Amino acid sequence: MSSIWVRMVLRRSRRATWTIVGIALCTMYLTGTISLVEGLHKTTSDIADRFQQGAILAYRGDALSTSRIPENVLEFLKGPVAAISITEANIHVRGSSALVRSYVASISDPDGIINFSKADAGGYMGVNLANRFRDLGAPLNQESRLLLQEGISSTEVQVSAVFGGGTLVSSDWLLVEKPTLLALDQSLNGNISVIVLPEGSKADMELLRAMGFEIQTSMTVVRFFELGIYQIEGCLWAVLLVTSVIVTMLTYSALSIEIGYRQDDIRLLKQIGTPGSMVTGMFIARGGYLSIIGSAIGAAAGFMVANVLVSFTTVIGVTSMILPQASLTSLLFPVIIVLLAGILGAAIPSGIAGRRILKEVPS
Amino acid sequence: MIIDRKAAFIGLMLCSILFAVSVPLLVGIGEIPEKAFGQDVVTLSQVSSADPLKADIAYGLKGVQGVQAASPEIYSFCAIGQEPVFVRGVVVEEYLKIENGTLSPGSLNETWRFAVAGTRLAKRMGVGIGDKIVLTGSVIPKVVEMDITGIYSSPNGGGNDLLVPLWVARGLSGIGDGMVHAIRVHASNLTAISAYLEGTEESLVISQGGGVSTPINTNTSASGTETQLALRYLDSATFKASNGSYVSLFVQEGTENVNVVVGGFIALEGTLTFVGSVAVMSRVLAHRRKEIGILSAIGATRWKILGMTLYEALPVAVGASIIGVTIGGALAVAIDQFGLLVMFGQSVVPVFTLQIIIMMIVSMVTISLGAASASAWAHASARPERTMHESGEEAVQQKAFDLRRSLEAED
Amino acid sequence: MKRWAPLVLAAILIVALCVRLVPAFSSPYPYNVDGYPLVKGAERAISDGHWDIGNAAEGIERYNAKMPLFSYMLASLSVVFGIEPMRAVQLLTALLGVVAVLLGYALAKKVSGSETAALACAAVLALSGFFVYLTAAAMKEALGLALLLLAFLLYMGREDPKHRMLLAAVLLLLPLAHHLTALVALLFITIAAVSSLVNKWRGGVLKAHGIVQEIALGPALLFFCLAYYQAINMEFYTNVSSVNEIALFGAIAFLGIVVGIILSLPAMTKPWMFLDLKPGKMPVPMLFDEKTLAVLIGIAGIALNSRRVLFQGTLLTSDALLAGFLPILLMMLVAIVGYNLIRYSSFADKGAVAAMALAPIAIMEFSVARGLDPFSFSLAYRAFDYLDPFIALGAGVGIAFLLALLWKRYRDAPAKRICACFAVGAAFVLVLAATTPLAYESEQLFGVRNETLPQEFSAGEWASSHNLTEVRTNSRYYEIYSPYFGMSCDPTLPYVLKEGRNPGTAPLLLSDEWTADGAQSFFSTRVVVSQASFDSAVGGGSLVYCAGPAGRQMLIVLPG
Repeated sequence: MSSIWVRMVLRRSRRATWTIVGIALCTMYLTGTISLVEGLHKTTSDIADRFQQGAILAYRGDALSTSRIPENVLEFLKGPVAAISITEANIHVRGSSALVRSYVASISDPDGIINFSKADAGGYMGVNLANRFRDLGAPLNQESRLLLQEGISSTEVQVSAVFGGGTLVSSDWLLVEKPTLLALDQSLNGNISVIVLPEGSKADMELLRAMGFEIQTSMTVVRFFELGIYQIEGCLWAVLLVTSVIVTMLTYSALSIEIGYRQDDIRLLKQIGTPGSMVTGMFIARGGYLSIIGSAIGAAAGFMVANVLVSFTTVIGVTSMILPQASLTSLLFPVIIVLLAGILGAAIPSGIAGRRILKEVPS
Repeated sequence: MIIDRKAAFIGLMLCSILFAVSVPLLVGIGEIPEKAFGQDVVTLSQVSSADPLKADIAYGLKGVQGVQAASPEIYSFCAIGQEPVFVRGVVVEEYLKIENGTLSPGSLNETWRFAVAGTRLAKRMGVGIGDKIVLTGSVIPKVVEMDITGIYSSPNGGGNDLLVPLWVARGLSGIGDGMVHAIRVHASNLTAISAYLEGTEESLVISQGGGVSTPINTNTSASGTETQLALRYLDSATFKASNGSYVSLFVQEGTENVNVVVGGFIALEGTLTFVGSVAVMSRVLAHRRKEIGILSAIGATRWKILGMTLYEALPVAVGASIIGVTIGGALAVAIDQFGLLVMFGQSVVPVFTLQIIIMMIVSMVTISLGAASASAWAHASARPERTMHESGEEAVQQKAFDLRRSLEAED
Repeated sequence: MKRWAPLVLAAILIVALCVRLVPAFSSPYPYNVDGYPLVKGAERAISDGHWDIGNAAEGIERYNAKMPLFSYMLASLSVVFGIEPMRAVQLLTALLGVVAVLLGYALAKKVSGSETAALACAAVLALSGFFVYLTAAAMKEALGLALLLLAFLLYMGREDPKHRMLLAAVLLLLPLAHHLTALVALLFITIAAVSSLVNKWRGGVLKAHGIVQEIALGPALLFFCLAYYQAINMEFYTNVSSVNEIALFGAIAFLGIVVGIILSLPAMTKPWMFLDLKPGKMPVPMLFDEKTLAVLIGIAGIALNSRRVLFQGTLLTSDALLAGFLPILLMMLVAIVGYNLIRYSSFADKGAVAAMALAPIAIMEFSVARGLDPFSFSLAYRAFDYLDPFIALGAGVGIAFLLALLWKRYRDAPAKRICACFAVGAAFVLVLAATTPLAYESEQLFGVRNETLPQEFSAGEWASSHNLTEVRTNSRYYEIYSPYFGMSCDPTLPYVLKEGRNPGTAPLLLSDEWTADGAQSFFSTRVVVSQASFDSAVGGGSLVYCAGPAGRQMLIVLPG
């Protein structure tokens, strides 16, 4: 009996060949598209890493002005580093009623990362903050003194120069010396707000990331497109999810047609007294056998086709940088989906047919 | 009856649903650039590039007859955390007029330092009025902290951008004082605009919906699409001269990669739907193979059987396609409503024009009938006695011959 | 064996030797610059008395020392017959070619049992232009191909334990002969072994020790080869070592195995299944079935490459090469007929015959799929060479079938049948002979001159004798002087001169040919240098050596 069982599972026929071809096509589609989408991610990430993305900023929480980092964190860092301390304050111009709420900061940049030559002096105002005072009817000059106020703390500073937009720091900031800032915000005592690392400081960046800091580069155009492409992947995964339903349906249909043709065999097996579980088991094994062959061929073909497609884009003049990725997701996931669908496609119809025929055949 | 209508209907409807969910979304992906730069309005920009224009032109245009709104804009491509954000330097009032947008209740009427997030963006980032955000530069190093001062919404899938003052956007994109990337205009009288612009002696291009463009004070022409792409891909001379030529290349090539993948998806999608429909129809007809055999035995030709199949399949295919496309469309809209699909910071809005709906229904009916024809032809081509009796399991084997004998010259 | 057969075979072998020795009459040096490191290896082996990769200089010589079999055969030949390795290299290559022809004959005889098919197969290998070129110019490949043909032959007779053990020895030797051949052999033996096992399983005669024997003395041995290449850091293999490329190669090899199994099973479908063929119309479609498409696609690819560069950074296929493919195409169509006869016959090892074609095709597919770059280009065209034994076998069987058909058809008209068979045989030999000159026209076909001119070699000797250890030159001279004279060569001089840049302070070794025909550069077109740049380079230093006729003159210029 067992040899008949094995023979029936492995029986070779033209229709079984076409079932394998159908299953292989489905798997090929899934493997090809998944490897392409993964390739898109990997290539984008690799290429993005090669571009300039400016100095690296690390801070705590959602904002710079509320971020407080103990100064001793800097001791853990191996490379050059700059620090910014910042708080929000009301800024008045003495002798006028003009008041602007903006940011007051101090910079420590011993290694010249921010490249702001006046960083350690005091009273430098961003050009757009100065313009704001001008628009409010309080134009600033060398003698202008500013009253800075936050809560019950206040201090005074004299404007010595205006800085433009060509620096890292925003042009609505007022730069002062650290003692002035501390007079305004005691929470910055022994703390800083932002750590600035030079571009490419990977080790220090990873260390700070591991310490739970928010990490952001100071130039994000490349990051924008990198993240944008990752979002497209989201769309493509959604489409893939949808199409894998078609694939599952198709595999189910292919196997159920295959089983549908074997009703006579089922009847015969029932008539000779084969237990129902054995009949169903035989067809499940048949479904699994066809699915595993089809899906293995399809996975190999899909990965090859994806590579050929990308390879030939250069012939039609499209410069494609995608390198289809071989991974468990791209090679194994489609095989598993198709195998499960195939087994279901064999089990359900054979179970139904078995029960129906059982009623027909007198026991 | 040749076809099991119930089974055919369910199967084909499923295929239609899947087809109708993905096609409008894939078309939607292709429309992202158009949406970002507003093809329904008149856009003024530099010829074939994103070199800046004088913002004063926009202020001057407001006095021109027929101009309802003129929005000077600066485009910066930034990232906030893991979210790509299209930061638009604008004059809020003018921008909202152009987009037919509105500020949500609670928004502050701030004009010097504001950050107004679109509803979709605010939802994705989980921010509200009063929250702080850290913006960093787009193409030059910069760090800016802003308070979210308002939330805006706009119809037609907008609400994905972050609006900031022109001076902040200049800081992020590195363009000079008094300059903007483009000016978008809502106007009823294009002739008056052209006349005004000619008077300014500035070289620029007016782009309108449908890819029409008019060069002003220059002979160089550029299509609306070219201008959009130039803006999109940061194709500006100053940008390239600084550090951007590789970025520009990266963006263009990256987008080509995306197009390769999306194009491949659309093609494979159609093929797979067809293969799926063939599987459904084969399954349906397989149950009727004996009937087909009997029809053949009593003298029905292949064409006759094909005709009968198509006659029965047509109403099923039409019904399944209409219902499938309707359900699929509804699913696609739901995906949009949940904001699940985003690309370059823009929501992918499924495109449902009348043409696309008709195209999908016609395609699905054609695919279904094609699949029915293929399956019916295959069954009708078999000899009746085989169709009626054979299980289809028999292997076809050529009889092997003796190679040595076939190569021997002797008889 | 028919009485006349040995005479015909001997004639074929003599012709095979002669056509391979033709280049020796124009230059005594290796008929390819690749020969210099091998000659150097042989000379080093004679002087050192042993094989040591570490003794070879870094670069081309070290690379060749990792596959030392040819050099050691050359050294042995040299010691036994007292000929210098430099003089013996062409003879040894030609002899290996003749051995390959003889093995081709034996293989065809084994597969088909037909003397005519075997002789026709030998004739194809003896005269086919590409194969002659390969077995005259590519020394390591010639050795590899002879061993590969021996492996094919031994595999067909593997039921005999002596054959099996000899096959194992050949498989172990192959990695030391040539890397690509080892890879082709690995694929061949894997596809053949798996399809054989599947057939035995289907026939119910599969035994456990059969599996062990088939795998352990087949594919498993070649995994030693991979381990050896890994250990010595073989350049060819390190080029394709990323996970993606290994997965791609694995996927293609797996598909090759599947196709091999299918081709070894009884046919499941009618040829051209989409056509509604009636049973009476079977023979012609069966002989020219869907496989014809593969040939036509391949030829279309080569034709396309003659108009548009498919592999970025490489050359277009020359019109001369394209024209040379016409008789090859004809031969391939005959080979399809021959193969299909084997495929639909009761021959037991159909999987192994299919594997002879599938192995190189899989490598070509891999090269196309991994990206169209210069490395893929070299992989594709080199893998194409390994189709020759399969084409020869198929064409041999095809021609024998055609002759037998004519013989039987005109059984009542002896004069007619002799004329018909003679006409077909003569046409076959003519078509083959039409391809032979391709072996000597590498300059027109590939833009590469194979033979070394006397002044080119003597320039190297002069430089070496005057202790010039570092020169700036082109890639052709780099491949001659670096391995053989041990000079440190920078091969970028033509590009430097073309761009009008300063050639620097190293001695220059250049030819006035560069201003007219251009400097030979590997994979790219010849680099033509302007007369002004050339004169400025020569005038910028002291001209210390000048030899050869104008237009082929060799110059050595010392700086300052």
